[in-house]
Amino acid sequence: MNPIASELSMNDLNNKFFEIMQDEGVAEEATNFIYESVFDDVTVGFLFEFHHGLKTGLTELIEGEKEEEDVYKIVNSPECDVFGFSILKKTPDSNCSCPNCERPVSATRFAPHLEKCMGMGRNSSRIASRRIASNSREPTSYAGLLSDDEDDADWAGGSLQNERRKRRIKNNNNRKPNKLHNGNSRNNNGNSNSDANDGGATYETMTANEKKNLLLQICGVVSEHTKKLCTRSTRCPQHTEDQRRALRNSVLEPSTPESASMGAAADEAGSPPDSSPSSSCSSSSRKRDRHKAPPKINKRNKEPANRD
Amino acid sequence: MNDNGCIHLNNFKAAKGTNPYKIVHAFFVSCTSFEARRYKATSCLCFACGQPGPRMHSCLHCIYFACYAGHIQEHSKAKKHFLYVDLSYGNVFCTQCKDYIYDRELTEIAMNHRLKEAKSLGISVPFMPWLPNTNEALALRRLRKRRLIGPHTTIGLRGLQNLGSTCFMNCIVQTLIHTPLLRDYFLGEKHKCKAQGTGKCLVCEVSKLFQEFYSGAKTPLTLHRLLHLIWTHARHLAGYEQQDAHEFFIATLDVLHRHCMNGVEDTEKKENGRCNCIIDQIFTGGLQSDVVCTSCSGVSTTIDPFWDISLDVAGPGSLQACLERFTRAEHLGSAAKIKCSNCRAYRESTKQLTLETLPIVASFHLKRFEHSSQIDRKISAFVSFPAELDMTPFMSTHRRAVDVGVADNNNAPEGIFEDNRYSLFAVVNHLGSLDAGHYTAYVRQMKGSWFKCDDHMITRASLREVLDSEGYLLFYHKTVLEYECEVS
Repeated sequence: MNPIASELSMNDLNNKFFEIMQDEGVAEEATNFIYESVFDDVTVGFLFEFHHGLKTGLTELIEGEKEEEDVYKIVNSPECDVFGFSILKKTPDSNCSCPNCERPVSATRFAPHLEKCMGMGRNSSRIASRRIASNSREPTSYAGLLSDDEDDADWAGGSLQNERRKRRIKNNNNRKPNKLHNGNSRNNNGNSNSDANDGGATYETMTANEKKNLLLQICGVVSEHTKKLCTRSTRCPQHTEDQRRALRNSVLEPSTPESASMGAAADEAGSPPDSSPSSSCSSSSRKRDRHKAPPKINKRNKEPANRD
Repeated sequence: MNDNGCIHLNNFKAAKGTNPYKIVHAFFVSCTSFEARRYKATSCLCFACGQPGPRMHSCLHCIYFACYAGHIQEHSKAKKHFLYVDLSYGNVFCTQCKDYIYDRELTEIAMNHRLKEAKSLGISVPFMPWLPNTNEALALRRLRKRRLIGPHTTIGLRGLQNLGSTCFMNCIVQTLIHTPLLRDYFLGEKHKCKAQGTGKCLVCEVSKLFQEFYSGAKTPLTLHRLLHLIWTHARHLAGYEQQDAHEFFIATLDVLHRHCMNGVEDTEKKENGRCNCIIDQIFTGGLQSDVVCTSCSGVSTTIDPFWDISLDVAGPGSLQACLERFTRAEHLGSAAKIKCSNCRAYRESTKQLTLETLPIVASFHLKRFEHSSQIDRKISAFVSFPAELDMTPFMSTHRRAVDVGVADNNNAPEGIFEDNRYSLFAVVNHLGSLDAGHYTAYVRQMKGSWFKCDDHMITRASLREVLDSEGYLLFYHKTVLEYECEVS
């Protein structure tokens, strides 16, 4: 690199600078000079922006024509909200179309509808259990079925071996919320009841007779989302007759090809199954979906890139 | 708009191209390298009078430096050179036209150099006013009406219908809609989606919501599609009963974050292994955890991303006190020994959490709901929170500096010039008891202009009222934004 084409090198400048700045008067003069230079620069910068806008027509282009504003003026009145609606009057209810079942639903009752419609919810299982229990003709014999798998005392016992062959679905405990973000180790608010599986029935733990009785009363189709039985009537509109027939075929008749082959698979795998309940059940594609790992957030993040 | 320079500049460009401008600009206006800064520092003096001003210019024809106080004019007369670059901003003065003239091509060179200059100095990109491109200019000319958002307009405000205990959702939606940078992103139509029109993308749904909020319509909105989308993609949220606003907020960010990827090519998804979707750009910070072995003083550091900070409210009376406690070193005690990789043994240790990187929106969750095996209760303790918050004391860099005792000296710790000020822009409140509660939100529409959102009811609020409220979720937005360089 060639030396700088100037009378002074950087080093000379530095030395000279400290020498000159020894003098207080000079230092003050220099301070004023710097201040004025910066001030001038900033001022000129503002003027350039203004001049550029005017000369190129950009200011005119951006400003355009102001929209009529009066219609949007905030209403200042203690009886009204900002739009001028009375705070005492209830808003008129409207209907919305449910994205799940496409039926019109009153907007103010949409959330409870959707919860049931999607066959999910913290309480839907509890409601379902209650309904199963109360509809049952032999309540005592069902009581055990409504408990959690985890504390199912019969799990390792031999009495259920036969039933296990026909097992199609598994109501497991994977309903824990995907807690992704730490920084809060555990958020403890408002949902203490969410994690516990509060009792969904499964066909696998019922005897043939029990299943038959139950399916005379309820729709019984297994929800894709919650893996629970639909507890609506046998003519419930959410599931089709075909679904109900298929369910009954596979649950009530062990000789159907599907259930037979699954039983064989379970035998090959060897029984009794190991201690982990979920690993022993025949895995359906649905079940795999539910084991998807929550997406991982990447570490570190800074300012956004220049948005232009 | 007319930014085609003038006849004299165009003739010059036809003869010599833009290179003379590029060189003058890169060396004496926006120095794009260290060498250039040395040149500029030592040589920007008027060749005629030897002074550094006023208003230095360089002749574009022969690289002759002169001040505006008569010497460029003299040079122009003597040499018949008409074009002069001002050395502060890089604008071109034409002595024939007797005015500064603006040329799109040169303006773009100047902007590019300014980015490079910032990058070479390691500083954030300076403010540059918006310059519409040809299409944008055409659109501006065709559509003349301008919608202005002022402190007295209802535009940007909208009530939200309660769909049956869905106030938790309404509050979070109001907060997101009033997040300044998110608003800019969506109103700037930055979300380009492959799943557009399928109704399956939550980001598209939020994008539509912004249009609704700024449409000027006054009737409450029904967010049934939004609720359905969120429940579909965050199944653990399940039922609506006793829904928690904080849980909903985090789940919503998660679904948005996942859906942001809809419009992005696989190759651009990750930059340096980190997600750069708008949600992560705005909401993700880095939480540093330092575990120090009490025997060997060895430090084990991990950094985890976070979207919000949950704070215990029992005890401290202010947000700052909560944060102070959150970032205080904590002795883990003899019951919780951790294996020290240095000592190769289980040792007692201290653990300290600090903020390694700050998100643009800092979200605080005051843990007002306590659940234990014995009792569930709500803690209504008063916690004051400021309208303006400086996060510097809770940063990893600052904490480290305090520990070694240099913070009080003039030895500025690294990052002392960073601006970590935040402004409150939304507060979600929970009213009532655990089982029968209601959520409302205060949102800031613009500086000093606050509104209370109670489902479909939007009313004016004062800052005092906001600061006096109980506070469950507090949202702060970075006051000064810094932009990273993206130099082509």
